[in-house]
Amino acid sequence: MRCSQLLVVGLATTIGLISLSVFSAQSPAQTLGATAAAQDQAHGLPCNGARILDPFQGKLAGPDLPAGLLPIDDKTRESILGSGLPCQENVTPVGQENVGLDNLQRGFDFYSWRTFIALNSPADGTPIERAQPDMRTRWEDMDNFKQLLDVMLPANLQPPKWPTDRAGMQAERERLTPEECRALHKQMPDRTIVKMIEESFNEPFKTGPLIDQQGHYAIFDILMNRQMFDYIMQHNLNTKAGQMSAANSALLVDFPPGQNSDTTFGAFMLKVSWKILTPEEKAAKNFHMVDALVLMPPEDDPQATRPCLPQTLGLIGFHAVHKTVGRPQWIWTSFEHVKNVPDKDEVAANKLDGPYNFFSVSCKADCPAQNATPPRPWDPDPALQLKFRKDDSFKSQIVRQTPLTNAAKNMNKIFQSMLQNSVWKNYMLISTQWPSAFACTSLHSQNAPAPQTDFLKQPDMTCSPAPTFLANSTLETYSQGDVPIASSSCIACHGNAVGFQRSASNPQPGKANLSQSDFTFMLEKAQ
Amino acid sequence: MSPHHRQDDTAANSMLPEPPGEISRRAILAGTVATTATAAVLPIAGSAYAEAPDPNSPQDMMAFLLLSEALTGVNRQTLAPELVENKSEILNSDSGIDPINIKNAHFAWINANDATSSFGKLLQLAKDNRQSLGDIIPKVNSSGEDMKFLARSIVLLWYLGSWYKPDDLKNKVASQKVVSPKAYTQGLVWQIAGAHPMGYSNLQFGYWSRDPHDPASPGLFNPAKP
Repeated sequence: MRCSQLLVVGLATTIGLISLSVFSAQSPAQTLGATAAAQDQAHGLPCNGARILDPFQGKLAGPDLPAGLLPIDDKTRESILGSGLPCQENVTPVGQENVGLDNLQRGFDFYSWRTFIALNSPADGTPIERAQPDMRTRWEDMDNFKQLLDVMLPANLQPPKWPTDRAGMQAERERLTPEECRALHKQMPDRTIVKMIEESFNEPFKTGPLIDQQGHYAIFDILMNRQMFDYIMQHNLNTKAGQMSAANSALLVDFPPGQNSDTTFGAFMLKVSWKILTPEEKAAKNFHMVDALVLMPPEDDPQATRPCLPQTLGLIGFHAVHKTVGRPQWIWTSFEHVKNVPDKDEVAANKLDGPYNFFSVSCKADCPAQNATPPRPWDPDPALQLKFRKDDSFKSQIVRQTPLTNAAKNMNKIFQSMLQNSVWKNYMLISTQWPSAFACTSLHSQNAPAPQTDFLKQPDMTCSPAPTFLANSTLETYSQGDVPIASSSCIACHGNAVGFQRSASNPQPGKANLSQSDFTFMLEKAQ
Repeated sequence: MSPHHRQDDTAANSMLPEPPGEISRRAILAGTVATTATAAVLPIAGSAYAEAPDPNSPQDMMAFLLLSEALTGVNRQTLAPELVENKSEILNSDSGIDPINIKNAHFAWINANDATSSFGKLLQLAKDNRQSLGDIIPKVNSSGEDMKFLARSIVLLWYLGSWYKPDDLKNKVASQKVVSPKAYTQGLVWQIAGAHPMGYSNLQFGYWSRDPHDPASPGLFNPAKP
C-alpha cells in the first residue's frame, strides 16, 4: 500500500516537473512579452500576451484536490504570481477535465486569478506573496485606473484629464477634490477620495443597500482603465450632449479589445465593494484596506452640506471586466472576501465558520429574514454619517444562494496556498462568466441545415453566458439565484446597457457591436 | 467571417459562418403538423422492445436529439449547441454539455411524466431510423396513440417550454403547465418568430425598430432589401 502511494506521489512529481518545465520554458517569453508590452503601452498597465495555461496536474472539477497537488513548488508559484496581466483569455476545451465546458471554465478561472493577482499586486513592486493589508495596489494607482465619477463630471468641471506625468495626474486629483473634503485632504493628502452617489450604496436595480454587522453601509465604486477613458474622450462620450451629438448619431460604441497578438490590454472596468473597518478589524489585518475620505451622497436639498468622512475601508468585493478580441461580450470576473457570507447549504447544515461580514451566526429569532432588503428609508442620513440606523436596528443577514463549484473552490485552494503570507489569501474567486456559444450572434440557426431545418432569427447578443447566472454577495446581494431576468447574469444585464445616443444598436451582419453602449452602464452616468 | 470567433480556443461550433439565406419554415412546421394528424395505427418494425430511457446513457440522449430534430424540424446542433458528432455512428456522438443544457432538462421531464412508457419506444424508433430521420414522423403517425400523443407533447415542450399531457391532447383538454423558467425562455417558438418571451429578452437594443423579416429575403438586416 505504502509503495503504491509512493508510486503515485512519484508519478505526480514527475508529471509536475514536466509541467513545470513546460511552464518555465514559457517564462522568458512571458518576460519578453511583458517587456515589449510595457514599451508599446507607455501608460497604463502592460499585459502579457504569452499563451499560459494552468500547470496544475489533475482534475479540479471533483470534490477534492488531486492528491499531491499541494504544495505548489516555489518555481511554479513564482512563475504564476509573476506572470503578469493577461492580454486576453487563453482557454481550450481540451484538457484534464472530462467535459469541454469544464476545461474552458477552468481556463477562464485561471485567467481570472492571474488578473486578480496582477491588479492587486502592490504598486510599489512588492511581490504579492508578501503584500500587507495597507499596501496600495496597482489598480489603486492613479496611473492605471480612474474612478467613473472623475470622468462623468458636471459641466463646470469638464473635461476630465488623465495626464501621463505624475504631477499632472496629481494636479487633476486636486482639481477634482470636492469642496467638502478639501480641509481633510490637506491634512491627509494621500487618502483615496470616494465620492458617493446613489449607486455607491444602493445595489443594481435599486434593490437596496447592504448593511454590515457593525450597522454600516457597504460602499461601491466603479473605475475604468486608460483604454476605456481614451475611447470615451475620443468620441466625446463623457457628456450627455456629446453622446447625443449629430457626430455620434451613427457611432457604434466599440471599446478596444485586449489581444495577445499585439499585447494590447484593451478596455477594462472594475467595480469594487468596501466595508468600513472597525479598529479591531484593522488590527486583525484580514482585509486589504485603504484610508479614504468618503464624501456622502447628495441629498434632495442641493444646498445641504455633504459630510466628508475619514474612514478606513476594507475590500469585500471585486468585479473585474475585460473586453477581449475573443470575447466581445467581455469576460466577467468576480472575487469576494472569504468571510462575507456563508453558503445557504452551510446555513442549512449549521456548518458555519463565522464571524461573517454580512451574516450573524448568533442571532436566531430576532434577526432579519435571510437576504431581506433593509427597511426604508435607504438613503444615508448625514447625521448618522454612514450608520444605517442610530439604534443599529438592522443588519443584513445574507447567505450565498449559489455555492461555488468544486472547480472554483479547488482553484481557490491552490491560489490561496500560494498566498499564505499575503493578505490576499483572504479572497476567493466566485466564478468567471464568459460567452460560450458564438453562433448565437449570427442570423441563422445553423449553417448546415439538415434536413433543411435552418431558420432566420434575431441575433442573441449574450451568446449563452457560462455560468448562466453569477452574483457577488456584496454587489448583487438581492439578485442571487437562477430565475431568468430576476437573477443576476453579468452579460445578460449589461447587454441591456445604453447611453444617451439616439440610435439603436442595429449592426449589419459582420459588425461586432452587440449592445448600444458595449456592455457598460458607465455612459449613462454622463451629465 | 463573423467577428465573434474565438481567438484561442477550438471548441466545436465556435465559428459558424453566415449561411446562404435558405429558409425552410415549412420544414420547421412539418413536424408539428404531422404529429397532430391522425393516421391508421400500424405496428412499427424493429421497435417491439425498448428499454426504459436512461438520462445518463449517451446513446439515449443522442436518440432523443435525433427524435427531437425530426419532430421539431430544428437542427440538432441548435438543440444541443455543444454536440460533437461521430460520423461513423451517430449514436456514439458526444451530445455535449452547455451552460443551459435544455436537452437534459427536457429529457428528464419527459421521462418523469411519461405515463404510458412510450418514451423508450420513441427513442428506439429514433435509433432504428437514425440513418433516415425523415422516416420518423411517418412511423410515429403509424404507431399507437400513446406514442403519437407523447411525440406531440415533446414537440410542444421544445417549442413552448410547456407540458401538454398526452392524455389531454388526446382528449382535447385545454390544459398545460409551464415546465420551468428555463424551459419557457428557451422555447424554440421565440427564436423562430424572431421575438422573445414576455419579460425576457437577449435581443439587441432597438431590435423592435427593424422590419419583420421576409422569408423570401436573403437576410434580416440587408439594407438593400426591398
